[in-house]
Formats: sequence, structure tokens, C-alpha cells
Amino acid sequence: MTFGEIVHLVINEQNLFIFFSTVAILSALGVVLNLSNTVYAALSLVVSMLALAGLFVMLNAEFVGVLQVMIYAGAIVVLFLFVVMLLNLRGGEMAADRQPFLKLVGAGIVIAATVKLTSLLGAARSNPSGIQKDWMPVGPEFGSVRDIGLVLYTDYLLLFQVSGILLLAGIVAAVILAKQKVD
Amino acid sequence: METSVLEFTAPELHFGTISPLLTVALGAVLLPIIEAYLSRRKSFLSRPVTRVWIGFMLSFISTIFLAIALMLTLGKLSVPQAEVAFNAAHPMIAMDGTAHFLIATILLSAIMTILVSGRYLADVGANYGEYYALVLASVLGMMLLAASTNMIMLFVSLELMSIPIYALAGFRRLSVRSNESAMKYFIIGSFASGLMLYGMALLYGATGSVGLAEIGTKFDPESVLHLLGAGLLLIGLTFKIAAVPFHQWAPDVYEGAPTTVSGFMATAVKVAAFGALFRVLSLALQPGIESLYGALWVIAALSMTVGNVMAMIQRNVKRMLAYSSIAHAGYLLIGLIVPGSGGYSAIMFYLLVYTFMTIGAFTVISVLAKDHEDKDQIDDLAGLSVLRPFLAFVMAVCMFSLAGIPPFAGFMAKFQLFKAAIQASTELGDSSLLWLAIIGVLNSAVSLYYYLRIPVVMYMRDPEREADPDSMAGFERLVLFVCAAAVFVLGIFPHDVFVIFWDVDVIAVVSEAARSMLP
Amino acid sequence: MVNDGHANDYLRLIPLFPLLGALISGIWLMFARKEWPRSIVILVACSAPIASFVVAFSQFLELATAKFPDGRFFIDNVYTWIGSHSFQAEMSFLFDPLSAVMVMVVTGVGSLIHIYSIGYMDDDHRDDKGFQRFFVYLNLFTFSMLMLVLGDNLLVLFVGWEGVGLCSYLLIGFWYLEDHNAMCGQKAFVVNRIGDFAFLIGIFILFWAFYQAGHPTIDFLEMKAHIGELTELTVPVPPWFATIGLAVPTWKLLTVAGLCFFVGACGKSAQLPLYVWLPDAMAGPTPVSALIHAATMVTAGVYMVCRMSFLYDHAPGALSTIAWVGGLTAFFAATIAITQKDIKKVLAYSTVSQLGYMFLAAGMASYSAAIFHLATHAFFKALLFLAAGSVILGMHHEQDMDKMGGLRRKMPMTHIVFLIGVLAIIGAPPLSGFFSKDEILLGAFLNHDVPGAKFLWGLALFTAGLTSFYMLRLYFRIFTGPTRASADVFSHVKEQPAVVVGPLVVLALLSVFAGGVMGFPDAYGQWLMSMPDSNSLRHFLSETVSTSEHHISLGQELGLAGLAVFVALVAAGLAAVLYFYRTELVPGLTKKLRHVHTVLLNKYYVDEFYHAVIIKPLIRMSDALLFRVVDQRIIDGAGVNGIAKLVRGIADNGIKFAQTGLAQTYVFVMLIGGVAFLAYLVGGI
Repeated sequence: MTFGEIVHLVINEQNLFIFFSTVAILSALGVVLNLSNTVYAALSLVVSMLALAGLFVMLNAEFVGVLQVMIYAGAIVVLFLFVVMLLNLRGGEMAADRQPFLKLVGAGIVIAATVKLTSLLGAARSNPSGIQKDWMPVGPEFGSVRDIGLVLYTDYLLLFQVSGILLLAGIVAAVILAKQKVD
Repeated sequence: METSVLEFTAPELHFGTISPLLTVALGAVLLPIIEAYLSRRKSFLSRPVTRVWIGFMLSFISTIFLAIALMLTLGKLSVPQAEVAFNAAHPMIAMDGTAHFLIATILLSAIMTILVSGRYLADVGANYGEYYALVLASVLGMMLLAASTNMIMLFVSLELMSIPIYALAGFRRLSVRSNESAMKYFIIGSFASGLMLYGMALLYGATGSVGLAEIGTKFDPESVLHLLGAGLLLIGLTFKIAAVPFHQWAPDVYEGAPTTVSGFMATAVKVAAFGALFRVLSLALQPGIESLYGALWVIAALSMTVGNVMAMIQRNVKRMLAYSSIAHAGYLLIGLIVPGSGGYSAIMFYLLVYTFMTIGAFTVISVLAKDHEDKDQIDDLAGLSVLRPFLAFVMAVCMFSLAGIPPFAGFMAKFQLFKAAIQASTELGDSSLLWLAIIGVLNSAVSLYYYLRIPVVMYMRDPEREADPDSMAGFERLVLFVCAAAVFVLGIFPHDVFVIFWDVDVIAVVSEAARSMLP
Repeated sequence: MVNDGHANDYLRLIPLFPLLGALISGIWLMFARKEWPRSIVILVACSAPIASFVVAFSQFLELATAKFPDGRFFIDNVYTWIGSHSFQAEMSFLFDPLSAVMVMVVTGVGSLIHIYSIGYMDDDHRDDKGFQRFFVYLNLFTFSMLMLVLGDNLLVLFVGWEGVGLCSYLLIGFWYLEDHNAMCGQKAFVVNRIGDFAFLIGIFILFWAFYQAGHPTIDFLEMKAHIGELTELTVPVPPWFATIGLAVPTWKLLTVAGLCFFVGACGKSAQLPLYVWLPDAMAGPTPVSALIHAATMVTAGVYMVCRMSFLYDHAPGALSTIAWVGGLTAFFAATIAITQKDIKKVLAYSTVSQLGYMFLAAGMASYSAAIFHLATHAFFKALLFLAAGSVILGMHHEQDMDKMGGLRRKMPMTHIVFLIGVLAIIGAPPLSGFFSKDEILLGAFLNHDVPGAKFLWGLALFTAGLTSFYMLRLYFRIFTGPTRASADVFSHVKEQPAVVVGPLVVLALLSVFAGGVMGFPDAYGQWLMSMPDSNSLRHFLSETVSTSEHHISLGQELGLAGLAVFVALVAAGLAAVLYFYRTELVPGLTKKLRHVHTVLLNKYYVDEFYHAVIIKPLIRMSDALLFRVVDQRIIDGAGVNGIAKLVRGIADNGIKFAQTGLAQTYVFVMLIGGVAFLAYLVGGI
């Protein structure tokens, strides 16, 4: 077995998928459970986003993967960190636990639902009726900036424009809620 | 890499189809610019620029945009079939009779809201020009939502509708309640959007398409994946119409938000969300509709019952109206369960009627606001018939209509809805629809308790305070008059409501529209 | 309906004008705190019926002159009012000879009374807002009455029917600050409800019957076309009737329906035994008494019976009942009128009596005679009431004729028109009452279908004598002899202004000439002018209501008329002796006949009888059982309040648990709901 073969045995598509998804799930759990230190929670989010970016790349969606890293891991989490540091919250102040009972019940339900969902989806996997199998073949350029741009400016033109207005509305909304002057 | 730039073929576009959308979009984009321009000047046409004046100008301009859009839409209303798509190769939206009717209703709601906002905002100290831009952006989202036939468009337009509303709910920045309302709505709304997006992802993963009609050809009601996707999608949409058990935000948000915004939320958002529900159910989920009926049945029954029961114990009119809107969502859901076009057309008529009576009621409350404070407790209405007879009269009309007492339009709307359910149940030999209609009728009876309390308080109790100076703006009078008149006219002549202005038979329009929407 | 020459869009204008008048003026009154200036009120209120009259008159001319191949009528279909499966009710108006005559009477007399009211109500200072309110009600009444007579189907007619009842209630109790007036209004309303209930049942029965026959309709023309298919139907009897050994009755359905309608008519038109409200209705302002309780509303029952004549032609039993009730009411009310002292009460009983005449005619199937008398009666009775109103105004709201007398010189115009009204009602030739009463008597004389028709004819003849007696008594007591009023009052009596007297003169002219112009009997026409169809009203109406063709010789006609005039003359002479020449005889005569007199003075104790037998037990049962036990304990206690308490309890506790105000809880509830929803969907919990 050559080194290349060994590498290929370890780093194949399936193993990579398992790796990225495990990291994504674990770090996502880290975000939720890391109650005492918010900075750690935010950093866990970065890890989760990076893992997701990996998954996107595996799906030939390099462009989306890069955006995921740039926007989420880069911009948004940095913003979170700034907010956390400016507010300077301690863990105890933040999580005023007013309904511990509900939290337990909720956790129970989520776990039960997850287990049930997994088993259901597993059953669906063994009996894959109604699941799309013959996907359209994609070209070599699939997922590239050029292809995405082409689709955005032709097929999804309306949607693209609407997204622009959505961003504008978001900006206006943010400005009005955040602007200093009150008159 | 050697690629030619010229392989790009420009899509063929039909701008006429989306002319109402373009008008509103133009308004949404221009308004912030106009506001910025006006507020930098000391005077305009040799009169001093004040905040109130800017607010008035902006409301005037946005009304013009909306009115043009309304005219364009009404002009298209008589043709129930879908117009040629904007981008025929990839139609994201279907501008058919249903869409036009719902868009017209949304625009009506928005126009009335904007007309009554100016004085109210100045009164509660939230007179910012951005208000109008946000309303227009939200209206654009609603119009698209009511017409969208594509999951991505559905999601984007849903967000375009919601995000400005989140901000509008928190528009009274100095009010803690308003801030809380915005925050709550935003967080819970994002949660619901997340669930819906998950559902869309599952549906896309299972069927490989984002177009609702294509999903419909591949939808398999046996598959767990499909059902989960459909269910999550429906949760996201029923959240927007505040149906039980996804309703709890509504009372808090309606209470905290500026009153005019509450009225807008209660009506226009509901109209748009029902448009989306029409499309999702009639196009994408049609093959699995049988298995969805049961779940929707439970949601409808729960919404009616919980909404009405909870409304009985409220002391705040806005909260009461919030619960009443939950109950009305329940009534409306009955129409979704009725197979065929009868239920859809009944819903469309109901939405139009509901818009008038709800905007009327919220406007009365907004007019009563004084000294930066809402007067929205039921006790605040005591003796209103003596203090402000016109307001009391309009409020009473709206309450009677909401309760469904003939000859007001609320009765006609409920009658159409229950009639559709009962007819369908006799035709199909399925008693579950009959039961739903019975639950609806019983709930209407329960609702009398809290709706009639308002007229009782207004007309039979002595006023507890001095008469206010009558500070109503002309626009507010106009809107109140229109609401009351519409409630009368739609109740008495449901067929020929616009005969005087427009040769349109509303009932025929909605039934034609509903029929043409179904495949 | 397709346009076949019958469509006529102008008809809707006729009821529209009064409706607009009432709405504009009424909505203003509702929201504003003060009245318009009186001149504007008058302008709005009076222009409405006059405009209606102008439109109605022009359409009347159209109707009378146009050529119709298939029946003389106009239809105005405004919109579909109720559309449901097999049942369709149009908001449409029918203008055929019958409704045309009615519309002319309503708008014509109505306009005059509107004008008269300006003067009458101007004198009133009891209530600041009264003036405009009065005209709002009056316009509303005119609208309702026009809906009633123009309605093309039973439902529109019923809307008008209830509308006039409501307006009558509002106007009787117009001066509601006095308890007595409010009570009288209530009495009228409640008694009318009894009739309306029967009327509604009649509608249901008829619709059911037509539905069974495959023509679900309540449209007059369609019903008329298909009525023949229903003649064999009988009232369905539940099967257990026979099983428990009861005889199975075979009532004809049309007879039952006809009787139900007639009970409705009895309520509205004050016939036995439901007449008791009309005398009390005199508590309202006098123009109201003239318009509603003499000229128009109370005749609605007669109109309805004539409108439904196609039904009654197939229900001879119902028709005989109508004739008997009418004849007996005419006699009965006339006897009471002899002893009354209040001048409006005398006129009220006279109205009941004259309405009895109309029903007698309708029951004898001479519908055109009933309508003819309806029209002439509208003129002379409105005249009498308005003249009485003028007297009352002159006497400063004194209505007791024991305190009048000798007004002839003080109020010359009023005196003349009142005399004309009296002569018209007692049937002095050639005034209008002579012709119309004659035609009724003729119809009764010639009828062979009603059992005891000859007896009814005799009774009617005798009643004509009574009429003559009490009307002349009224006249003599008011206008002749030495006055019995106090000197102070008498010295202030003076003639009323032109706005009051003007309408009186017009009505007086109508009372004199209308009868001869409308209904000059054919026999006289042939004799005097060789015109065989001089009874134009009768020929006009014959296209709508069935009229039996009676050919009668001139001698017979003249003989009957002479007999009637003779009876009236004898009675008139008697009245003249007792109340003009030898007034000192009256007390002695009263004493001699004191038993009869007391009974009559107390109106046969009918009110007392109703009170003891119906009202008191009803109140007692309502209070003891229905209110205290059923309503307070069961419905309020266990039902409404109990359920409300229960629901509130549940909701209160629900709030504590779920509606916490925390976003976390909301999301949590959403989560549970969502999971349950999805679990339900995929069917695995």
C-alpha cells in the first residue's frame, strides 16, 4: 500500500463527510452549552462555520464555501466577539435561569425527537421511495463564480433584485433602530 | 481560461407583468433618499422644514406610490388567468387573479395604515421618515409572497416582508414595550424562518427542485422526508398567520408595537401569508393534501378555540384584538381544508373584509392615543359614545362585524366560509369538515362575549374623563369612514360592492381567481 | 329578467328619495349635537316625498298609456338580494295598476301631510331635537311604505311591512318623555308583532308549498302563474296523529296560508280582535295619525290581501273569514265611536270601521272596490284628521269635545273642510265616499259565495247609518252651538296659517271629486254620458286583481244607492235633532240607555278583558317562572355565567402556565407544537 493509497483510504469522500459533520455538530453543541464563557461560544461558532464550509466545498460549491468562511466566520462572528467584549458580560449574569423545569422538558423532547427523526430517516434510507436520485449532471464549471453569476443575472434575476431591496430594507431597519439621535 | 464573454443570453423580460411591484420597489428605494434630501434643508419652497412636515410629505409620497400600484393591480383584476411571467423561462411568481386580489388587499391595508400613521407617530414621538420606506419594502415583500411559486422566492419575500416589520414593531424607540415587542418578534420569527428553511431544504433534497409546481409533480405522501419538509414549511407559514400553537408572540407584539403597525401586521401579513399557503398547498403539496388535512384541522380548531377563549380575559384592547386575530386565523384555515376552489375564494373574501374591520378597530385605538401614551385599556373606552361619538360608532361597527353579526360584512364572510365547509362535507360525505364548521359557529358565539363588551363599555358606561379636544386628522376620519362604509356595503351588497366605482363583483372575482389558481 | 318592455329603471327612485332624506338628515342628527336650521330640515324632508310623487306620477302615466301584450306592469330589478341554491330573492320593484294606485296615494297624501307637518310641528316646543327627528321618522316611514307597496316579492314586502311597523312605533311614542305615549307605542308594536308572526308563518308555508311544487319562488308574478298547481295540497299531518286515534284533518294548505296572511293583516290594519292598538296610537302627533293611522299604513293589510288575491281566489274559506271579520269590525267599531268624547278617538274608531268596510269588500272578492274605498278613505280621513289637528292646535292641545263647540265662526276654513270630510265619509252624493261605499255595498249585495252575504250587506248598510250618526255628532259638537270652552281659551282660538290650511283645501277638493273621477259607476256612465266604462279605476285594476263582472241594471244600482243615502239621511237627521236642535234631550237619553252607554263608552271592556285574560297571566308566568327560574337560575346562573366563569378560569390558569412574556417560553411552546405537528404528520409518535 503506497502512501498515496493510505492517504486515500483515510481521506476519502465518506471520511471527510463524517469528519466535517461531526466537527460541525460538536462545535454547534459547544455554542449552546458553553454558558460560562461567551467568547468560547463564539469561537465554537467559527469552528462550526468552517466545518460547514468544508461540506460546501465537498459538494462542488466552492464559491458558497468561501462566502461561508468570509461572511460567517469572518464578519459575523467577529461582530459577535466585539459585542460580547463591549458588553463585558459574565456567565452568571447572562443566563438568568427562570424556568429550569421547562429547560429539562425541552431537552428531553429535543432528544426524543432527534432519535425518532434519525430512525425515521434511516428507515427512509433503506426504502428510498420518493427521494431524488437522478440529479442533473453538473458541468465542470459548476459552483464557480462565473456560473453563479450567469444564473443570478438570468434565471434568478428577479430574485437577485429583490435580495438587493431586502438588504436595503435591512440597512434602513438597522439604522432606525440604532441611530443615536432621539428627537 | 478561455471563455467567451458573449455566451450570455439576456433573458426575455416582461416588465408590464410586475408593474405594481416595480412601483412599490421604486418607492421603497426612493423614499430614504427623499427623506435625506428634505431633512438637510432648512426650507423647501420657502416654507420651513419641520419633522412633522417631512413626515406628512413622505406619507403623501408613499401613498401616491401605493395608490398607483393599487390602480395598476385593480386594472388587472378582471382577468383571473396568470399573466405572462416576468421572466418566462424561470417564472418565480405567478401574477394571476388570486395574486392580484391579494395584492390589492395588501395595498389597501398599507394605504390605510400610512394615512393614519402621520398624526399618530408624531403624537407618540416616533416621527421618523424611515417608517414609510420600511412599510413600502414590507409591502413589496408581501406582494411577492402572495404571488411566489418558487421556494427561494417564497423565502426571500417572506424575509423582505418580515424584517421591516420587526423594525416597525420597535419603532417607538423610547418605549420599553415597543422594543421588547420588536425583539421578541425578531427572535421568534427567526426561529420560525429557520424551521421553514429546514423544511425547504428537505423538500429540495427529496425532490431536487425549488419550483412549487415541480415539487408537486414529485411529491410522495408516503415518504417521511417529504412529509417532514412539508410540515416544517407549513409551520413557518402558520407562524406568520399566528395560528395556535405558533401564536404566542402575537399578543405581546401587537400590544407593544405602535398601534398603526399592529393593524398593518394583523391584516397585510396575514393576507400575504395566506397567499403563500394557497400556493404551497395547491401546487406543491397537492398530492399529499389528504395527509395534511388532519394536521391543519387540528390547528384550525385549536386556533379558533384558544384565540377566542384567551381574548375573553383581556383588559387591553390591542391584546384582545391580537387574540381575536388568532381566532380569525383559525376561521380562515377552515377554508384551506375545504377541497376545491370554494374554500380559497371564501378566504379571499374574508381577508378583504377582515382587513377593513381590523384596520378600523386599530385606527380607533390609535386615534385615542394622547400625550405619548396609548389609551388602549378597555376601561379607557368608557363613555366614548358621549366623548367621541364618531369613533364609538366606527368601533362598534367593527366589533359587530368581527363578531359576525348580520348585516355587517363579517357575517357575510363567515357565512361564505362555513357554507363552503358544509357544502364540501355534504358533497364528500366527510363529517370532519362539518364538525369544523360547528366548532367555528360555536366559537363565533363565544366571541360575542368579548366583542360586545366594547360597545357595552362605550355606550352604557359613563365617561371617566373629560372630553378630549377632537384632534383627529382628516385622513383618519376618511379611513374610519371608509372602513365602516366598507363593512356595511360588503355585508349588504357582497356581489356588487364596487358597482358605483368599478364594475366588479367581488364574489365572482375571488371565485374565478381561486378556480384559475388550482391546477 | 330580460328587457321585454317591462323593465323600468326609474322605479327605484321612488323609494330612494325618502330613504336619502331620512339618511342624510338622520345621520347628521346621530353625530352632530344640534339640529339643522328648520328651513333646511323642511327643504330636505319635504322635497323627498314630492320628488317621489313626481317620479311616480310620470311612471303612472307611462303605465296607463303604454301598450303591453302580456300584462300591464313595470319591473325594476335593482340587484339580487339573497341568492342561495334554489332560492332567490331579488331586490326588485313591481309597478302594476294595484301598486301604482297605492304609490300615488302614499306619495300624494304623504307629500301633503309632510307640508302640513311643518306648521303643526312648528308649534311644538316639548323637545329641542324633536323637529328634525320627526321628519327623519316621517321620511323613513314613507320609504318603508313605498317598499311595502312596490315590493316585487313577499320578502321585500315584508321588509316594508316591518319598517312601517317600526316607524309607527317610533312616531306613536314620539313624545316619549310622557310615559303614556311610550306605553301606547309599545302596545302598538306588541300587537303588531302577533300579526307579523302569523304573516311570517304564511310566507314560510307558501314558500314551502311552492318548493314542493317545484317552483321555489316568492315572487308575486311567478306565484300567480303557478298558484293553480297548489290547490290540491293539504296541510301535512304527522303520522302519529292517526296512530293515536285522532281524526286526520284535511285542511287545504292555501286556506291555512291565506288565514295566516290575514291574521297579519288584522294586526296591521286593526281588525278584530287585534284592533286595540289603533285607538291608543292617537297618542302620536296628529299628522302621524293622519298619514300612518288613517291614510296609508293601516291600509297595508287591505293592499296585501288584494296583492295576494290570486291566493284568495283559491281559498274561499279564507275569503269568507275576511268578509265576516271585516263586516263585524265595521259594525263593532262604529258602535264604540258613538260614545267617545276625544275627537281623535272618534276618528280612530271610524278608521277601524272603514277598514272593516274594505276587508268586507275584499272578502266579497270585489278587490277593486276595496282599493277604491282605500283611496277615497285616504283622502277624506286624512282630511278629517288634519282638520281635527287644526282644531286641536286652535284649542291649544285640547281634544275633548265636551270642551269645544261654536268654533264655526272662529275657524271658518277648517269648518268648511271638516264638513266636506264628514259629508264624504257618510256617503253624501256625489262626494267620493258615496261612490266607493256604494260599490262595496253593491259587491256585498251581489255576492253568492260567502255564507251570509246578505246579512253582511244588511249589517254594512246599518253601519253606514251609524257612521252618519257619529260623524255628524262629532261635527255638531265641535263647530256648532254655544261653546263649552273656557272664555280664556275660546278668545284665543284663531284660524291656522296657510301651511296648515293649504293641504286641507287640496285634500278637500280630492274628497269631493276623486270618487267621481276615479270610480263613476258604469251604469251611471252609460245613462248620463253613454260611457260604458266610466269606472276607470275598476277597469285599470282589473288587469291585476280578479274582478267579478257584475252586470246590473240602472234601476238596481240607483235603488241600492238610494237606500244607502236614505239610511244615512235618517241617521243624520237623528244626529241633528240630538246634537243641534234639541241638545237638552241627550242627558235623558243617555240615562235611559245607561247600561248600553257604559258598555260602549268603555269599548266593550275589550282592553280590560285582554289585560285580565292574557297580559296579566303572561306577566305573572314570565316573572315567576321564566325570569326567576329559567332565566336567572338556569340560563344566567348555570348557562351564561357558569360557562363564562369556567372558561375564564381555564384561560387564567393557561396564562400563568404559557403566556409568560418570555421569548424562551414562546419558542419552547412552538417547539412542542411543532414536534407534535410533525409527529402527527408522519404518523409516528
